[in-house]
Amino acid sequence: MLAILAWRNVWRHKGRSAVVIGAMVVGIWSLTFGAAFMNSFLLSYIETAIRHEVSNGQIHHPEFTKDFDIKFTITEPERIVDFLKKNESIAHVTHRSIVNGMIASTRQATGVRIIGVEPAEEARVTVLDSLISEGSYFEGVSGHPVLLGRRLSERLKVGLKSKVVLTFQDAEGNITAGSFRVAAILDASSTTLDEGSAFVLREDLNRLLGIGDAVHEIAYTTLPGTEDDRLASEIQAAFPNELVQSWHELSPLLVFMEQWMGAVLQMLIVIIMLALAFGIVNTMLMAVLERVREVGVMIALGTRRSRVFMMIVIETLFLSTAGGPVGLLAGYATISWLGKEGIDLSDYSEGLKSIGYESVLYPQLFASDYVTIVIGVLMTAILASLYPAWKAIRMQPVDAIRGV
Amino acid sequence: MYLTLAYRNIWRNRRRTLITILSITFAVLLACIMRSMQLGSYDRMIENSVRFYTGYIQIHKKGYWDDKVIDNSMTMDMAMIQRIASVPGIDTYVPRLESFALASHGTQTKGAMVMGIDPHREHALTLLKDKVIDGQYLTTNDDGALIGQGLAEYLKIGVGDTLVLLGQGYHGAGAAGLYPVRGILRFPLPQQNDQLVYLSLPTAQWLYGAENMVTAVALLIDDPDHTEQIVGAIRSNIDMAKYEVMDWKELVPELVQNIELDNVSGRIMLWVLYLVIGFGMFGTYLMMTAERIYEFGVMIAVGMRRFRLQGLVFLEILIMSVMGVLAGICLSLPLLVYFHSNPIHFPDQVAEMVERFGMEPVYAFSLDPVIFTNQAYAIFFMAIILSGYPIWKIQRMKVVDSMRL
Repeated sequence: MLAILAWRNVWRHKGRSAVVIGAMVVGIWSLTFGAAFMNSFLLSYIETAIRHEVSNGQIHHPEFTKDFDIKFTITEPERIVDFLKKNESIAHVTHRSIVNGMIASTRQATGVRIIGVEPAEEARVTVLDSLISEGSYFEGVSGHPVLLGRRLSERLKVGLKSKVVLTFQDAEGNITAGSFRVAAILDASSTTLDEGSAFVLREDLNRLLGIGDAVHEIAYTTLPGTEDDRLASEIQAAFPNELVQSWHELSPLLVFMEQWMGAVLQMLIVIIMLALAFGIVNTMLMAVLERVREVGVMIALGTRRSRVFMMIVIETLFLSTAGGPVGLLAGYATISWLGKEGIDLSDYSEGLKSIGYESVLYPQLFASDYVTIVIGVLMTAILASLYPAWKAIRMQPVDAIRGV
Repeated sequence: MYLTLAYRNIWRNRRRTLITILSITFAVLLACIMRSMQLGSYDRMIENSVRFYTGYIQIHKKGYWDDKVIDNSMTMDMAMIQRIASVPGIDTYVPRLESFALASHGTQTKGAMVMGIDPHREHALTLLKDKVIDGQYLTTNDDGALIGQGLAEYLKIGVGDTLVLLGQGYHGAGAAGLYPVRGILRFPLPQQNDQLVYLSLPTAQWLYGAENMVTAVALLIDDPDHTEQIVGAIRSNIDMAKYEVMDWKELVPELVQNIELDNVSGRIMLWVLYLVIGFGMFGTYLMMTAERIYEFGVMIAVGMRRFRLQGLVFLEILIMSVMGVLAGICLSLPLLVYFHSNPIHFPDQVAEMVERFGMEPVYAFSLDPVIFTNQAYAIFFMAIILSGYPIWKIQRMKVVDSMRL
């Protein structure tokens, strides 16, 4: 009965109902859009890092990641690689040798991580070849090729085919040096790749290091939808002597970003929810006070105050639930469209790249976020209806009927 | 006359007026809070990387910043430095000699950034002494070294052990030396923690064969907002053919870009807020118009011209907007001052993560006056634009229908 009454009330004043519904639509739409936009920053960052740097998971000797001491190599790398290739969640696998050392041109010297890769496999795992801005992928130079990030090459003042010298400690602990030629310059958005890494052929590096065919790192990518943490522990169980880590453990920075952005987003959403609540409170309050006489009559006729209270709450709920789906649909449509088209921020891309983003962002929202927003907005609406409802039943029927 | 009428109209129905004013007040308050939080976080970012690392202003030999090699260092010209230090607003100058070297201990070797510093002055700028977690800070002519914790762990070196530094000195001279480790420093940023070695300035100058030379003079200034004037004053005081003067925006362009970028998303969120606020305010206006439609009808029926009535309503909204905006500022000011000195903390599990990366886990609030003026303008403007609705309604209304009730 109350519901019917509330339902009729909604239709009795169409303009007012339209505003409340409109506020809900706009509120939900803007919350979904805002959240998706902020999300796109985070996802772009994480995706770039996973794609070009950490991959979905890596395997090392347990001691190796502590200080990159080259003597901690993986035992039986072939067996692990075979095992990974047979796993159906894993897309691609590659293995590398790594040493920290110094890179020097005729002008400058700086510290660098030297990574020995298998070019064909590396291209499948980290898409390293796609980052090349000039030169070609481990080709086109006489002598041993090396790939450098743009910023590193600028710092060293070297161009394509320039000679650089890599210096590091070999397996015996002696300082060795090898001369390489720049085969390609990479345009990477991550600082690590851009200024801290030099990619060489694994065979070249292993020969200089004197470690035979040893492997320091195995990296793998997984198919979409894989639970990386669970997969990592499965592999760990199969090879208890090595250390298997998913990207969560490999890159605490990514987790930090996730958390930091999450915290900021939460705060912004709270502020917007407050604004939404205030809009609803105001409109409903005016709507209720406008009906002073009507409510006064209801009470005078003997309607219990609690029922009047419920009626107004239900009315607000009707209005909110009418606006909810529309706002959600509008938000979903906007996000899907922008998710395909992307938002081009290339005017800011220098800043974007320096902190590891791509310059076109694709807003995206997970199903769980939609649910959170809908629940949040509905809660806001219910809370917002309480005050006007309370205000309505506090009226003295005598004063109310007497008129405004 | 109209003013009196408008004023009386406003107070005729206090409840309605209060709700309208309150919706504007609340809009200003929320917009101020949001913007203050955004700008506050930028201040923190700037302070974290500028105040504790580069300093707000640096002076180098011309060309050093583009080509950071030791050959581009400059002589510590005391007369010049005195001239700079006398520019008002500059608290102190901090000389540095910075170059790359291989650091090694036992069988471990790693590339390191070596910073020759005046320990006393450096502490005044970057609070370096507070970062010592083991051992002692350097003394003015110390012949020992401070080393970043990450680098120390890699080299397996502790306080009292001897660090070997090997690099290239001024004009190609060889640079090599042995330095006892005096202390271990912990920096929040990995690239500092894993890379930095500090020597006293004379020791570093000796290592690099660069007697009485520095690569940079950083300046500590009393108010970051005066950076531009101070840079201007310095430029007119020294030989610009020989030196370059750079402010923090040039020193850390990535930071400026980061902030601009974040500002893009910040602005979008702000517009989202405006949209929601605007709808709330529109709802209030709509109700107000609906309530008063009978009254408007009577006014027109007794002979008031529509445009005069519109002017009257506009005047009412103007008065209410002014009151609402002023009230909003009066409310947000003490609130933001409170949050500025007592920032809100992040939830615990996030806080721990954030702290590990050297950021304070708080929502910082800024008190930049621009926030208040801009948000006040924006909301005021919105309130005025929305007054188009009642004005349009008066234009379109049919007098007879409106009075039928």
